[in-house]
Amino acid sequence: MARKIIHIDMDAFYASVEQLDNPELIGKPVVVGGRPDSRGVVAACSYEARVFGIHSAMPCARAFARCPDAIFIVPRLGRYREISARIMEIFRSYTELVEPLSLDEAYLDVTDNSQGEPSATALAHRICRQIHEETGLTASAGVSFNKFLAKVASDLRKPNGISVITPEMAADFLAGLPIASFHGVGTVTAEKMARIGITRGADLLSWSLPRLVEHFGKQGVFFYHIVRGHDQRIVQPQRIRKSIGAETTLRRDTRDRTQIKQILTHLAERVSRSLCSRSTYCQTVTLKVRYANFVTITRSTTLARPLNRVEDIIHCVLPLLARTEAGQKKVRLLGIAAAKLTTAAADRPRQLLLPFPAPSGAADHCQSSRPSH
Amino acid sequence: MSLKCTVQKDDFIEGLSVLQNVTNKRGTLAILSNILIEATTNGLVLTGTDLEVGLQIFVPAEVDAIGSLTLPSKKIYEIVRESGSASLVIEETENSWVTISAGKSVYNLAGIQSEEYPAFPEYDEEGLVPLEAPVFLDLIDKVIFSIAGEQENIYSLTSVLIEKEKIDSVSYLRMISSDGHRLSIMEKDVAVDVDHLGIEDITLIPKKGIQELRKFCENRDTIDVSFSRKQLVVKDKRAVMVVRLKHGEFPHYRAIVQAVPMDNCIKINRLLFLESLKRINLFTEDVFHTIQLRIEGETMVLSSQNADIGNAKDELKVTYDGEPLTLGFNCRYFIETLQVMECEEVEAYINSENSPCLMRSALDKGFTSIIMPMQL
Repeated sequence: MARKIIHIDMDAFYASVEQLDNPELIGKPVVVGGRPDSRGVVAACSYEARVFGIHSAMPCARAFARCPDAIFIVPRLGRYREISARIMEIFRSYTELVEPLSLDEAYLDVTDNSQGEPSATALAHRICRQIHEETGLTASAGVSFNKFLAKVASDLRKPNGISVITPEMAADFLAGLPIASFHGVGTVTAEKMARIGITRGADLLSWSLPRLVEHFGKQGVFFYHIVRGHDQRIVQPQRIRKSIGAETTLRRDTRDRTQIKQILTHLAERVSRSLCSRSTYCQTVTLKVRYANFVTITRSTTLARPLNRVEDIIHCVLPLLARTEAGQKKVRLLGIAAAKLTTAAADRPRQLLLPFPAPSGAADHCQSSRPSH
Repeated sequence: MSLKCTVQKDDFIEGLSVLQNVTNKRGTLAILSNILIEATTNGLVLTGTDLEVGLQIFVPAEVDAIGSLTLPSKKIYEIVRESGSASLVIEETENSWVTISAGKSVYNLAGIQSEEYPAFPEYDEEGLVPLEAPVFLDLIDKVIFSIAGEQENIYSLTSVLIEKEKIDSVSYLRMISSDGHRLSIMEKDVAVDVDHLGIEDITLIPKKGIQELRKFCENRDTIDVSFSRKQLVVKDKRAVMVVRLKHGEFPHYRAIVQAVPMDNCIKINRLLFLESLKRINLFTEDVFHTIQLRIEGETMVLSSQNADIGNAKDELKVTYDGEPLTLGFNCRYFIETLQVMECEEVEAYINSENSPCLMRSALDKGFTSIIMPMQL
């Protein structure tokens, strides 16, 4: 059965957030990125700015030259992340299979979805509408049966538009598609293809597999399949764990502090094992206590250094226990949670890098709204 | 025409076994897990490729009917390996099926027609020049261990950089590898005039290619070599290997070599140092293998600790008259470098706990290793 994939891309995300937070910017050319006199680049720009030929990744100085009246804004990544989290939350309410590509872009596999909706197009409309209602921002969506076509489609009716490429349309669509729009074809490959007469999908289609392999190595295999609409890459949800915890309801409510400590040691071992198996460390440790009367309290501590060893966790938990009424009151449930996870432990030795000189011509980069994948 | 030939087991198995390295990889084209067998009037030509490395082996055989087809690499290898007979008869039946007879054993094996097999890269016989295989092997051995893994973000570091140079009409070849934490350089003078080698601008040999070249050079004396922009060809009477080359930017490694001050030198007995490092490594933590080196006067104290196991300490006599140093290092980096060196006494140049450590010796002509410390 064909899959149903939606690619959703927020319209001029950073710039739109700025316009949302500051209505005075609405209708004006807004450039988010470096200062006009800096060597930074444009991370995002409003559609009003695009009229002047400004686009992302362009040096800010050039953007300024094209439109001196543009309003230059330093990116507020924290704010973008906050809104991005809300949007991703919306996606996840439709399907578990959400693969974020960046803050403002994601693939959704809606073959099975929480709504039981058979039409991916109807879902795409519903999702875009909900994003607009909840955040005031617009998004564009592409609907198709694989990731590559969904992504290409989302670009077709930007901004605030939805495009669909059905399996029946795919062959014609791919044949007419300029070669540079194919996944994996960058400027260099596009030039190379142009030299051997490949400028559109139709040209690529006429090439046999061995000939493509001869010219492009392994990539040739990929091109061969993709121009035929074969893209088996799956939507990979990468849930980032926010916390790791372990808790247990006691067989019998207790006031025995020795027993409570024993149980906490056991829970700390479980948390530590879980952290170690992911090679992560935590910076916050939380103790959870539910008393016999079902009142639940938590006590947390934040540490200067990330940790993941059993002894260190217990070392944090015991002072927290002292700040509860466990023992005076009967305890029903105990839990330990480790949060603020990080892979780099500050107390670990750090391997230094060879001080290779920076390649010539390197400029300082702004956070781009669309990192290359 | 349908292929038919008789081949000696020993000849066949040798060719098939070296081809196993380049075939049998998951994920690529199905046909690439096959080998191409071409029966010619001179014998068999076996071809395997993973599109990065292509290998052709010539195997003597009695050919009754010339022809070509492809067979599953692993299966044909296993059939020949398990065969109890000194020779095997291969006969194509129809639709690329073959019947293999070995003594009383008979196998019918499904193949794929040879037309679907990728063409073996063309190369210019004229461009081939002779090179001593042991020299090439030595170059590779001295740098192969510090090539970056595939997840490295400086892409060119997943390859070895090869350079040629002519100084006072002596020809040199040089290989350089780095994983971002350490850098290995090996340079050797070669009998061939490097002007005949088409090594232009920045020529990179990917890790897979280097590994296969290494195997190719083992047990060979002289090989013929040619470099073109696209590929490196190595050849002798029995086999040809074609390795795809890459081009691009490689970090400016000379700048790092030049930046190491050569005034603070520690002289250490190489084998004693190596043995001590192996002992200390028993107590390092996984991944980083951190050890501490304390050098004061004529003594170097090596120590390591592991949260789950315990700790270890060892002591060595060194020749040193500089300021006391306390350094952190990945123990494995030192072990790998010292293992490829040949000298009795290694010279290590290092100034501080944050600066690169350069190692070389008069006996290890042409070899330089640089290792970055760890911040403890």
